[in-house]
Amino acid sequence: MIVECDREQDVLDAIASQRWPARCDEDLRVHVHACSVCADLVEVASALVDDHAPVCQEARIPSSGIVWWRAQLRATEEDARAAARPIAFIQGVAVSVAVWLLVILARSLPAATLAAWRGWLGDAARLLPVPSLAQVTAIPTGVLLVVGAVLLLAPLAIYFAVAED
Amino acid sequence: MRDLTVADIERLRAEADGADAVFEMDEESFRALYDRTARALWAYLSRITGSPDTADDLLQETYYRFLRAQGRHENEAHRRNSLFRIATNLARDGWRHGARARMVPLPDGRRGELRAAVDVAGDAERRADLSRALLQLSPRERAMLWLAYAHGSSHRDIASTVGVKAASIKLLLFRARRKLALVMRDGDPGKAGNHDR
Repeated sequence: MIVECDREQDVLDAIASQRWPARCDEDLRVHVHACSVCADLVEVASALVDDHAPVCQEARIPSSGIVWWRAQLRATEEDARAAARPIAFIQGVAVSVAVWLLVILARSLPAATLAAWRGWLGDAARLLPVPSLAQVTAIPTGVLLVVGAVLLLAPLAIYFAVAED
Repeated sequence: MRDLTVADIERLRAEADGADAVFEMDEESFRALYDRTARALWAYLSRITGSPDTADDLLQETYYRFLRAQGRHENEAHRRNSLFRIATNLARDGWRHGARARMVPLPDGRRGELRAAVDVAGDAERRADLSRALLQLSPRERAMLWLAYAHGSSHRDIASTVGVKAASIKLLLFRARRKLALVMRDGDPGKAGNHDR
């Protein structure tokens, strides 16, 4: 199968310079008539060259200023979102660590101190519609572990939720 | 992209005054490049997707990705190639993700009218026929033909833009050209490869 012809460039030049077919050499016209490669080239290239300028004229393009501002706005928003992801993660970790430290601290305090705090909290709890400290400390260790795990995994969940945006 | 509000513009102005540049390219250079390339890029996108609406969307996305790429471009030709490559990839992705539904193929009943229309109709009708004929080709074939003949790109640039080996371009271009010529004559791309005079 013949896929190229030595005269393709001559044909393309004639089309591009608008010499095809009336103002080009007679021998080029004769060649195109006999050569399938160049005949296809004339048909396709002429149609596409003729189409190019009108399509460009029809182009519905926004102004360069609008495109620039929109791109800048979008980039700024994307950068802000990207920057917020690690911050949200670190905040979640910090909260979890703080809660765990409080739990560890509470468990390591002397019994007398805890009893004093319980008394104080008990007094305060009576004023608020919340469970008493005694009720909270009565929660089984397994439940506390589950709550702890949720607190630990929460920052990860927040991170991935933000990352998907 | 969503529309800009006045508040957005004011906020951007304020941020631009105090913040580091978001893009490597400055506004003046971008606007000059955009003004030189946008129409040709829109025409390319419109022809390879077969949809002016898709071209509208992809045009802005192309420039955005170009700006975000922060690439070092040696010259104007390099920047243009980069833009057309991004546009080609976006059009290809759109094609993969269902944009094809928007690209209406030539109905069988209209195919027989192509030949007569090419012979007798005016510019507008010839262009409409070309548009329908192009839709019979694959997106890559359309891209190659448009770049080669409407845009006047070199084989090396075409290869780089559509993502094929430079050595393959001549043959791929020949096949695409043959196919389009047959569609324009007969409305049947299936005969490509059987017509060798």
